[in-house]
Amino acid sequence: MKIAVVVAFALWIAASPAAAQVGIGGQTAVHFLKSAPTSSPLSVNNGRPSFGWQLYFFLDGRVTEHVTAMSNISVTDNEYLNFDLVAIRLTNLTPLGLNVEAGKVDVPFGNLGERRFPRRNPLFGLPLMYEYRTALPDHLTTEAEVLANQGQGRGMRLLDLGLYDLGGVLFGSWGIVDYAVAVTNGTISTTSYSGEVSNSDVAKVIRLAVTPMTGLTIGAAYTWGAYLEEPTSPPPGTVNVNSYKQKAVEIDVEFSRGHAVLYGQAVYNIWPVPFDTGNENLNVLGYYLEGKFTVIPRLYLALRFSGLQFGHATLGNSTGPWDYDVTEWEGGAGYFAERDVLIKLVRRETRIHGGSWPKDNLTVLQLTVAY
Amino acid sequence: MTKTTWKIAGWLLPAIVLVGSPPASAQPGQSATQGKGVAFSEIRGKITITRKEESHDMHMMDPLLGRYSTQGRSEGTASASPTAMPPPRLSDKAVVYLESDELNQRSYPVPDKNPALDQENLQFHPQVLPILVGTTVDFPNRDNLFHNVFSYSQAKEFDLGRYPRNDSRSVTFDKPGLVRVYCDIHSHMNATIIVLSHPYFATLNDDGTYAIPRVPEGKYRVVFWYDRDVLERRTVEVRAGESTVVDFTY
Repeated sequence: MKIAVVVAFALWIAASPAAAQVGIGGQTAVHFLKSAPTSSPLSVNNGRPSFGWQLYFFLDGRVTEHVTAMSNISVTDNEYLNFDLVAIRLTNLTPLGLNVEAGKVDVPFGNLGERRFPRRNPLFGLPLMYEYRTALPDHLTTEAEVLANQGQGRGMRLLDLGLYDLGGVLFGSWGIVDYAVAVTNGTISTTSYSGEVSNSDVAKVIRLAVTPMTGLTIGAAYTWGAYLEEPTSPPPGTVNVNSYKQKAVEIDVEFSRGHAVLYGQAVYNIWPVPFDTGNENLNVLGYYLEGKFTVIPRLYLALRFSGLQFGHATLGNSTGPWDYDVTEWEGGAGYFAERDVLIKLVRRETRIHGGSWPKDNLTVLQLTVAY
Repeated sequence: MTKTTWKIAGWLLPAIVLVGSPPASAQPGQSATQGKGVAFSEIRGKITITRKEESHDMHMMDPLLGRYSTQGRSEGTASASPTAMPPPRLSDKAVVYLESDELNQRSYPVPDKNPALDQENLQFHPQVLPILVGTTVDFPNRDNLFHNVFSYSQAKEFDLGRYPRNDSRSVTFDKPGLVRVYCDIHSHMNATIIVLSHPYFATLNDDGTYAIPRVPEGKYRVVFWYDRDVLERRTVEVRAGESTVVDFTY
C-alpha cells in the first residue's frame, strides 16, 4: 500500500503541469559494520560483521508562493517504508507573517536538523538521547519491571529518533530570534507514527532560538504532555494517565567558524510514574557535544561525546539511579570522494555503568550518496 | 649593452608587448587594428536564448533547504528560502571564449584587479566565470549567513570554510581547466570557473552582446558556454580589418 502511494505520488509529479515547482532529492547509504559480540541491545547481529543500508527520499511540491507540501520517506535495511514527514507548510499568509506547518511535522525540540541524515551526520549514529532506550516503558508499569529493564533496551528513548510527530507548528522570526510553538499527538519520547493516539492529551512544545552573530545559534525549548498509554488492564479509569505529564527542558548550541563546526545539546526530563506502590518522578539528563573539523579539502574529522545520567529513585527496596548511566564516544573521519559521495569510517565506544554488558563498541564503514 | 642593442630592444619590446598584450587592454571601438606586423581584429556577436529554462525551477528548489527552519536559524536551515532567489541573469550564466593551441602557448600578464565570485541571495554571481590561468579570484560573502565555498575539481581543490558577511577569501587558479564551485551548506549553489590559458574570452552585456577585442589573425574555435556546459563550438577565421560576427541562439 505504501509503495503504491509513493508510485502514485511520483506519477502525479511527473504528469501534473500544476506542480509548478517540485523538489526531489534523496540519500542512499550503505555500510559495513561490526559491533562487540555481546548480547547487549546495542550489539548488531550479535557482533557478526554485516552489511546494511538506508534510503531517504525528499519530495516537495510548491503549490503557490505561500504553500508547500513536504514529505520525507525513509527505508532502512529492515525494509519498512516510513513516511517520516508529511506536512503542509503555509508561509507569510497573514499580515503578521506567521508560518504554519501541519501534518506529520518535525518537532521543534533541539537542533538535530539535517544531521539526522547520513550526508550531514558527520558520524554514523545519533547522540545517545536520540537512540538509547531507557528502562521505562510507555505504559503503566511496576517497579520490578523497570528494574528488570535496566540496560535491556526495552523502554522509551528520551528523544524518539527523528522526532517527527503528528500535529501542527507555528513558527517565525523576530529579528535575531526564531520561535516555534507546536502541539503534537505524542510527546518527545512517544511520537505517534501511525496516527493512533494512546491517550487524550496532546504534547505542547515551545522553542526559542537566538542568533546573536552569524555562526552562533543558541536555542532552548520546553515541552510537556501525557506520555502513558491508556491501559487496557487494569481497566481504564483506574489511573488517569492524562494527568501524568512528561516535562522536559533543553538547551542547544550551534557554533561554526572557518573549518570547524560545533553542536551541543542538554535535555533534562521528568517522567512522573504511577507505580502501584505510589508515584515516583523518574528523571534523566541527556547531553552531547559534537565537533567536526575539515582538515584539508575533502577530509574531515569528527568526534562526539554523549551521555545519559539517570536520577535517583526508590525502586523496590533500594534507592539509586533508576537506570544505568551510559556514556558514549563516537569518532571518525569522512572523505568526500566527490561532492555528494561521502565515505565515513567511524568507531563508537559505549560504556553502560552497570549491568551485564558494561562495554560495547561498533566499527563501521559507510558510503553515502546524496542526489 | 651597446647603444645599438638598446635601440633594437627599444623597438622589439613594444612589439612583444603588443603581441602578448591581453585583449582587455584594447579600447572599445578598436575593433580592427593593425600594428607592428601583427594584425588584430575583434570577434563580437549576440547570444539569444529562446528556450524556456525547464530545469530552472527544479534546480532552484532544494528539498532540504529550509525544511528544518522551525528549529531556528542554524546554517543549514537558515530562514533562507528558495522562493526569495531572483532568477539569474543571462550575463551571469553565459560566456564566450576562444579555443586555440597557438593562443595557449603564449604567456599573458594576469589582471591587476581580482575578479570576484560573489555569494549573494543564496547564489553565486556570476555562475560562470572565465579567467586567465594564474588569476586570483575573490569570494566575498554578501549574505547575512555563512557559506562554505569549496571545489574538488582536478584543476583546483580548495575549501574556504565559513566566514561572515562582507568577509572574503581568495584563491589563485594556477592550472587551466574547469573548476566546479559549490557551497557545502546550501547544496543548490553552484558555479563554474573556466580557467583558460589565454585571455581571449568575454562575458555578456545585459542585452546579450559580447566582444572579444584584439584577437590576432588566425583560425579559432569560438565556444559558447551556457550554465554548466559548452553548448556550441564554431570555427571562424579572423582577418585583419574585419570584425568577425558570431551569434549564438539557444
